[in-house]
Parts: sequence; C-alpha cells; structure tokens
Amino acid sequence: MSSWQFGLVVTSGLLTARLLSTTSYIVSFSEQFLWLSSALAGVLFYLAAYLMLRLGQQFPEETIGEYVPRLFGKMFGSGVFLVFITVLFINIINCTVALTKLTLVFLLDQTPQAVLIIVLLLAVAYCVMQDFGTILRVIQILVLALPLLYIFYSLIWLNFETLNILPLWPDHFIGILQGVMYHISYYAGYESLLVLLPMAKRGEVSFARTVGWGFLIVTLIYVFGGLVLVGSISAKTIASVPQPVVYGMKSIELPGTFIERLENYMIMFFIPVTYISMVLSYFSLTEGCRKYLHYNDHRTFIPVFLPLIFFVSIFIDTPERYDVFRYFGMYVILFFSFVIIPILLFLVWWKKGRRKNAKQNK
Amino acid sequence: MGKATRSRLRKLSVKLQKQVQQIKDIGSAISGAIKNLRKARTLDKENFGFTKTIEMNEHLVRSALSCCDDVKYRQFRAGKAKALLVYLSGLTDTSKIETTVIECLTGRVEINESFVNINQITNLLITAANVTVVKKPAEGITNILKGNPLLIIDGIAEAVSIDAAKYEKRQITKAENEDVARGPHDSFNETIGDNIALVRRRTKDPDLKVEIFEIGARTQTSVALLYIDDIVKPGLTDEIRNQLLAIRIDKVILSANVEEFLSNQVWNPFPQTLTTERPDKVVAGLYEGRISIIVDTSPTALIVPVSLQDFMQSVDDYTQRPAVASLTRLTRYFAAFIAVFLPAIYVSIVSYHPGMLPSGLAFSIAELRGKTPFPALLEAFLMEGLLEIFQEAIVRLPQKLAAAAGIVGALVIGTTVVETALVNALLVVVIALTGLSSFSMPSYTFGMALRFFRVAALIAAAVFGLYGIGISFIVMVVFLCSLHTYGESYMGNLFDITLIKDWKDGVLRFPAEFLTSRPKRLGPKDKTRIGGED
Repeated sequence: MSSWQFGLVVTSGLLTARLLSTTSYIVSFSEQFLWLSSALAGVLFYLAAYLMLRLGQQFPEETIGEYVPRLFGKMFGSGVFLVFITVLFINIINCTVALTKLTLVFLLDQTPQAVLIIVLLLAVAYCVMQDFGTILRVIQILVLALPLLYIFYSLIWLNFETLNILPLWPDHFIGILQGVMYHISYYAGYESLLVLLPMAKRGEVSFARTVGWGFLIVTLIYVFGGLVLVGSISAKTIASVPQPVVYGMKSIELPGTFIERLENYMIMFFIPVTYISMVLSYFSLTEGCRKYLHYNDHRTFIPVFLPLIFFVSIFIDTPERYDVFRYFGMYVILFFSFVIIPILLFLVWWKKGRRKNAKQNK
Repeated sequence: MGKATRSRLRKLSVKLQKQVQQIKDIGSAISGAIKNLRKARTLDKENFGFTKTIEMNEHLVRSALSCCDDVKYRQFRAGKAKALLVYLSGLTDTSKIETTVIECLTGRVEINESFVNINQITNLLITAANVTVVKKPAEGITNILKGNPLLIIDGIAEAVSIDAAKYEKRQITKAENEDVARGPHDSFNETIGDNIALVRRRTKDPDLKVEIFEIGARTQTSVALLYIDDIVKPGLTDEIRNQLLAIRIDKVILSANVEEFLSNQVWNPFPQTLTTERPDKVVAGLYEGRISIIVDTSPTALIVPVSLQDFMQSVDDYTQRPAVASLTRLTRYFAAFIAVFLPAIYVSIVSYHPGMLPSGLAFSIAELRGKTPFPALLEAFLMEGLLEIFQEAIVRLPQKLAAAAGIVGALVIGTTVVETALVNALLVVVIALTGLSSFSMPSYTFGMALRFFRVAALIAAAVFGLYGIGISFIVMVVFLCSLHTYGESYMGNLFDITLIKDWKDGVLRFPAEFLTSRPKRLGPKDKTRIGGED
C-alpha cells in the first residue's frame, strides 16, 4: 500500500463505538472542556504513534514480533510481543462489547448479546481471512460511512446553547489532563501500525505526515463533536447518562421530515466504522503471530483467537466486570504506548550508537 | 401347423438369431481392424491419411462422413487426372465453386496434362480468393463441415480446401437488450465474420489484432480474440489465450460456454465477464485496455477484465451531458442498493424498529398488517417467489401472450393478493420497486446476481433487524472486494485512493476533456488517450 493508504488505514481504525460509552467518564473529569481534553489527547496519542513509526522504520521489513526477540533476547522479546497482542486483543473486545451493547439497547431488545457477538465476530473473521489487498479495499469503501455518520452526529448542533460551554478558560487543568488518559478509547487502534508498516511502500510522502494528517482529521472530529455535545446537553447531563451521544441524538427533532429516531441511523453507521477497527486489530494480531512463529499463512491463527474473544466478551457483561476490564485495558495500552515503546526505541538507538562507536574504534 | 413343426421353427429362429449376431460381431471386428490399420498408416489423432489414389481417398472420406446425405461428391476430370470435389450442400456457394474450380480445371486444362504437385493447381488454375493446401485429413473434414469444399486430385497425396462458405444468416439489427436513446443501433449477429467486421468498421487501427481459434472438440467453433496490441496490459493476452486454448469441451454453441471457463470462481453469482451485443461497447473496452472474445453462432461478445463499475455503466452515459450522466449513474447505484436491501429494510422496520416511522405511517402499516395472517418475512418470501415466477414466465412466453401475461400479473399479484389479505399493499409496492430496480441495471446478468443476495439480506433482517442489514451489507462488500478477474478487483477499485484518476469515469462521469488517461487499474501500456504522433 502507498503511504497515503497507510495513513488512511491506521487512522480509520481510531473512531469506533467505544467512544459512545466512554464520553461520560471523560466528562466527569474534564467537564465542559471535553473538546480541549480531546485535542490534547490527539497530540499525545499521535506522539505515541510517531514513536512507533520511528521504531518500525528502524526495521523496515520486519514486524515487532520479529525484531524485538532478535535484538533483546527471546524472553524479553516474547514478553513485549505478548503485551502487544494483549493490546490488540483488548481493542477487539472493547469494540465488540461496545457495538453489541449499543445495538442491544437501542436497536434490539430480546436478542441475546452473545448471538450479536457471534455474528459480528464471524463477519470480522470472514474479512480477516482475505489477503491484505482485499482488506485494504474493504476499508477504503467502508470508511465512507464516517462522513455519513458525522452528518447525522452534527445534527446535534440544532440544540446547541452557548451557555453550556462557558466558561471558555479552564480553571482545573488537572481534571482535563485526567480526561486525556481516558481518551484511550477514542484513539486506540494505532498500535496495528507496528505490523502494517512492513506492508507499506515508502514513497515521496513520509508515514509520519500521512498518519499525522489522519490524526489531525480524527482529532478535529472529536474536538468539534465534543464541543457540540457539551453545547447541546451540558457537561452535567453527559456525566450522568450512560450513552450521552445517543441521549443527545434522541432529543433532536427534524420538523417537516419523516425521519424519526435519528440515533438509529447513527448507530447503523457506527457498525462499519467499528468493523474496520476490529478487522485491522484482528488482522494485525494474526499477522503478527504468523511473523513471530514463522508460519506461512495468517489464517491459521483466526480460529485460535476467536473463541477467546467471544468468551471474554460475554464474560464482561456486568457493569463491574466491564469497569475492571476497561481499566485493565486502559493501563495496558498506556503502558505499552508510553513505557514499552519509548524503552524499545531508546534501546535500539543505544545499540546502534554502540555499534557505530565499535566500528569507528576499529 | 403341428406342435413338432412349431418347435422346429422356434429352434431354427433361435439359431438364425445367433448367426445374425455372430455376423454383426464379425462385422464390427472387421471395422475395428480397418480403423487400426488406418491408424497405423496415419499421423497422430487422424482418422486416415491421404493417399495418391483418388478412389481410396473418396472411400475414406465417405467412411468418415457416412450417412451424411447432405455431403455431395462431384467427380470430374482435370486433364489426365480424375478429380473429386466434396462439399456440404446448404453451407457452400455452389455457383462460386462452379466458376472458380470446376470451370477452371475442366476448361483450361489440356486433356493430356497431368499434375505433379498441388501447387500447380492452387497457383495457376483455381481462381478462388482463398485456398488452403490441406495435409491433415481431419482439417479437410472440418473445412467441409464449415462449408469450404475439398478438392482431391488423383496422384497427389494432398487436398485443397476452397473458401466458399455461404449460408443463411440474420441481418444486422437493433440490440434487443441494450438499446440506447442516442447512439448507434447496430448489434452483433451470429456470424463471427460479420461481428469482427462491425468492430473493424469503428476503428482503422492496425494495432487491433484478431486471433481466431477453434474451440470445442466436436463443434470446432471459431472463437476470436480481439485486442489492441500497444495498449493491452503485458501478459494479459497470453493469459487469456492460454485459458481459451486449455478449454476441454466437446461443444461450444453459446458465448456463455466460453464465459464459464474464463471465470476463476465458478460458484460466484456475479458475472466476471461483460457480455454485450453492441460493437461500440467492444471498441470502447478495447481502447481502455480490455480484451474482447467473439464466439461464432453467438450474438454476444465477451469483454474482460471487468469490475462492478463496468456493469453499472451504459452507452447512454457517454451520449448525455456529464452532469446528467453522473446523476444517472448515482441513481443506478442507489437502485442496486434498493434491489438488494429494500425488502430487508421493510421487514426489519416493521418487525423490529416501527418507532423509526412517523406515527401516521406506523399506524397505517399496523392497520394493513393487522389484516394479513403471515409474519413479515413470510409475506416477503411469498411476494418474492411470485415475482420470480412471473419474471421467468414473461421471458418464456411468446410475444403475443406477453401483453396478456402483464395484465394477469398486475391483476393477480397487484390486486387479488391484496384483496384476499395474503399480503399487505405496502409490501406489493416494496416488491414492485425492488423488481424495477433490478431491471434498471444495464447488465442483465448483474441484475440477476443482485436477486441472489436479496434472499440472504432478507433472512438477516428478519433475524437481526437493522443490525443484520448492516452486517449483510458489510459481508457483501467483503465478498465483492475478494473477487478478482485477471488482476482487477471486482469492487475494490471503486474508491481506491491510489487509483484516484480512475474516479473520473467511475461513479461519476467527468467531461471528456478530463478523461485524458486510460484506467490505471487495467495497467495499459499506453496510458494516455491522446493520439500518438506519426
């Protein structure tokens, strides 16, 4: 794939149905400065993605599962790879649970969540079974749901009240920074670039730029979306309802049209958008395992993880278990992105420096 | 007649039957021996070989074409030698062979003249426009069956095939299935020569190559491969040629017989070749870097490689203004969506999401559905089944009855089914709209494939509502993106950002001044549409 396709693919997996359920947690810290929190989080998570790009570019033909064990030993490398696949695993489960729960609550009422999860996972597995060229083409088509989703989402402007977003100057920066951490549900999914990078062709435009553009667009979507949401239903309401975005959509009426239940249309567009993220994470998971274990085909690993994803997804069906899983996932992803990756990058640079010095001394 | 006599007669008849059977067995053994002897004398896979003796050659041709009373044998003398002309009446232009062969060999040759080799006859005597020296008897037999008579001369172990085929054929008429409002109206007929001529008329390009093969072990049907040599992607012609030559089948009587062998996923309902009756569409395809295949006795040409957007385009798009054409194309894509998903959307909304309807409409639908005994899915299947049966009946009916069938269909399906409360009126409207949408597809085979997915979407909607529709849409997209024909993705190139230049003639149609490059996805050698300099 080209560098622009790489940027599109990496960032198309960011926006998912997870954000619908996480917004209330974020607002409980950042209050009406959700938009500012989203902007700062965009910068922070782009930095994490940038570090991953720099790490991946040191080894252009290899994935993380290949170069880390080779450079730092089998044990350390296996440990890092295990954390990496856990991150992808968590992303897939979060997406699955968020989308199926949303569907269950607002579209269907008597269908068991387990059935919805099976159907979704089978559809994801069907796509992951294809070669990457096909997956790339599917993503480029399904990503068109994003502007359509945003068109429906932006109807929340109709209830916008300026008073809800005041004051404009924040007086509790700590809360905003705390909210930044919870934005992992908004931005998680970029980790798959550690597996996708070797498949991309280095062109005239750098990967950092193309991924940067993608992050910028997604961040702007979140910033304006946050501004609109807070302006429409106020931060207090957002913090007290479980699905504030859907709550905001429910209050919209379009007089003179036959369109009712706008939130259903929005949820429909969340299906392909979340599907993209799940496919990318699952493909990265199976492809990463293939490269790590030196298999010929990534399809071998599809049936291996499917039952695990299913059982964990139905296990975390109570609010308490879901909260525990959510916090666990958040800390693992943050740990991987902001601790492990910088350490790896530092070690790689340090090793290269030593090698260079050794050559010069000779 | 006494008992003893009857018993004797019975025994005699049994004995006679046994002897007749024995004679038959001996006869077939002798024929088998003759065949084997002939094989020993001949080249591989040939029934027999030409000899220098005309009587033997005549006997052997008569054996190969035994019980073919339409094969005629004309004996005459060419100088000192005996000559034999074998031809198929009904497929041969007898006046032509009289003037170019018989008159030449009987009138211009001295009575004592003899011939040493066949070239004396072909180069100096026969005046036919096209002659071929035939060394292999199977080739000679095939040429006779194509309408080209075979000339055998005593003393020469070769024969001459004369191009004199003439048969009744359909005139060039309007395209029955692809008629356009503005544009040429001529279409292909069943004769390969006429079809190639229709293509040649539209371009005087010396790089337009025409390769002709015989496919079908028994029918030996002529199949032509057309391409523009300096445009088509390198390797594509070889790949298709090899695929055609690898076809092992006894008969080819339709282009569909060849089409199936060009498909790499035989169970896939979507067509992987574009079939057309229009020569202008073939020429347009050739100049994009595609290859066309014309099959003798079939009035449709095949074009490969193709993708989904090619099935959504019509010749009318290029005869209308770009803005109008773009809107028409968007309408077609919307119609394709409706053709697959409208019944599913209806079932999901009435079964799972009635709150999405305005209250007035929801109440009236509830009132309508209250009168019908079946659930929404069963109603939809019933109407779908009726529609499919009706569509099949209309295609098979003679033209005189088709109008009556239309009335019956409208009355039966439209009125009576609703009045008897089998289905509700809204569903009839939904199904009618669905049917119209699938008929609006420019490609008939593509429209048929959409009907295939309609059932799956209906079941998904009945089980999971809008969620099922969303998942079935995604699965359909994945399936279509996974299809490939000769390296081109079926649907994946629709919004591929590396092929952004191809978007100018994809979902929308840009004005001609912007269409300066050929589709990049086809990998043409000559990338620009602007003519080359001398």
